[in-house]
Amino acid sequence: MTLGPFDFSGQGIWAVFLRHRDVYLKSIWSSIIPSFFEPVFYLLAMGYGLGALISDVEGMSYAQFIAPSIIAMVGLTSPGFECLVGTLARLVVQRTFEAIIATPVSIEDVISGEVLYGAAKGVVHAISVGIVVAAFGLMPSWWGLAILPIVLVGGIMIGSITIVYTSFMPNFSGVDYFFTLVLTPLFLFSDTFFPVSELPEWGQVIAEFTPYFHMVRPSRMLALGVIDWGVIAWDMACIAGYFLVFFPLAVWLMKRRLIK
Amino acid sequence: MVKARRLCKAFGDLTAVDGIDFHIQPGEIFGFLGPNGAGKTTIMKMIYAMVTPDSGTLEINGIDVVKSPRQVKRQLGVVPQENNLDPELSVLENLTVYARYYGISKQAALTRANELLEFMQLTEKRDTIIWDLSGGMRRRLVLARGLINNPEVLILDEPTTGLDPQARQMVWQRVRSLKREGITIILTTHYMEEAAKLCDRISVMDHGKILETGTPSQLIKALPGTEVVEAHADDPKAILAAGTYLGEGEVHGDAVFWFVDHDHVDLDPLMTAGALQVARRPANLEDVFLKLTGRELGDE
Repeated sequence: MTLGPFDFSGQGIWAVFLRHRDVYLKSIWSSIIPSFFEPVFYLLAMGYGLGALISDVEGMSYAQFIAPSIIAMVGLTSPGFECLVGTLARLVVQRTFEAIIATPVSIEDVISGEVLYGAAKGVVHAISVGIVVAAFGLMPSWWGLAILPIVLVGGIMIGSITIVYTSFMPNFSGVDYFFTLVLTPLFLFSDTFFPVSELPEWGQVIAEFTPYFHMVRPSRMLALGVIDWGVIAWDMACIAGYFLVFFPLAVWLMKRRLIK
Repeated sequence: MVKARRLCKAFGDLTAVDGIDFHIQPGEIFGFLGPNGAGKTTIMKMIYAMVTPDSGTLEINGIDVVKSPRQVKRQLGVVPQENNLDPELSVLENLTVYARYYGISKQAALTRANELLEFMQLTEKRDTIIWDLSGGMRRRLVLARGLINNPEVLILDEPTTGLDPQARQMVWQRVRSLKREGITIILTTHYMEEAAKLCDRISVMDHGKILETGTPSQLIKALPGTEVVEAHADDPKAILAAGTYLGEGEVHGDAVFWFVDHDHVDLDPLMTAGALQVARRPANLEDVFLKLTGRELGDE
């Protein structure tokens, strides 16, 4: 399928995705266990430790307040890590991309497969964290299951944004900047550990424009079963908007980098 | 089979490929021989659409590479210079995962992969992880991977660079038997011996240009003599002067070369003039390169 300057093939994208799945299944535990424990530690330390000092937030316990954002968190960190460290390793160390694009698979397919895989990994990890959150009794509504599709589409957005950054990285030296200056602030200031209403006016405006915020807000609504569909529709539209800007950019930049 | 006309490619200020024409026939082994940086790999990458030519045309089986890269790549097998295997996967998985990129069904991929492992003598390593393979085995596996889609054209970019002589022999044998199956093979090399032993025809390249194309014997026959007298000395100029009876010689580093025909046999005057080592040997592709460029193949 040709879209403007791009050439996508569903079969090519799927073949790339399956390659990643096969590699992932080789080391599934070393991937799932850390990504499972990290949010659980957050839940225990912040939700119950710090939460003991906080009476309630927006009419609920602090643990309840942060539980949905902790599920959404793996929808940020999994694709963020995968599309930066994983993509860069395949690009410059293992030269996997060069091996793949010598076949009928295009670089457009490769990048789509990367983004899709990062997001899917986020969903798998969100399931494992979600089970823990539910076990703590912090998932009052069955709507909470709908967090998974949000993690999927949000992960596709985050992966696309991340690959734009990755495309400029000659090696791993720039990786830390992305984690410290992009992922961490997104993670901390997007309605995750405190309501954005606590931010100064200008901070609230910025939060409204950050990509991750649009994953956390609907996740919380769904987990609690207090749903404003208009707000969720707006959040999904924002995610789609980010995707439509960053995904073509990511593909274009990677194509420019690989095809000389 | 593969037709290039006026191909050009520059990377910034560097002209990698400078107006090249070639026409590769079905079923032949065609070699690009030249030193590193001659533009050989750039040509290979153009064929599998990783490098887009600045100008000129390139067709495989009548299909334009720039316009229809997917269609072209479907017919190609590519063995790149680097062994870019999937290190976490096993030998067999490297082949079956690769087959998926061609849309080959699981069962067909497995059958083909096992055939290829047999052909490359890797069957015993079937379930070994790539980390645990020797260099020669990795190379053979990349070669097997390049054959997974039964390609019509196989591209071998420096197929034996970095291999020990035994592993190299093994790759050469496999390449020859592929030729017998009728596959068109395009290879690049900077080993004179490899070009001479494998290739039906060779293009000698330097600085992005093809200097001469022909069969190895045609290229050698075009030299001014069938044999070469090679003398090494501390003062090559003196040896050159002493050797005028052999014809016009050429100095390269500490060596002097003369192209001669059979009847010139007397090498004693060179020894008398102070040559450390004198030898007479049949002319080879190394001499062709030297004659065409004034440099030795190994020179950078």
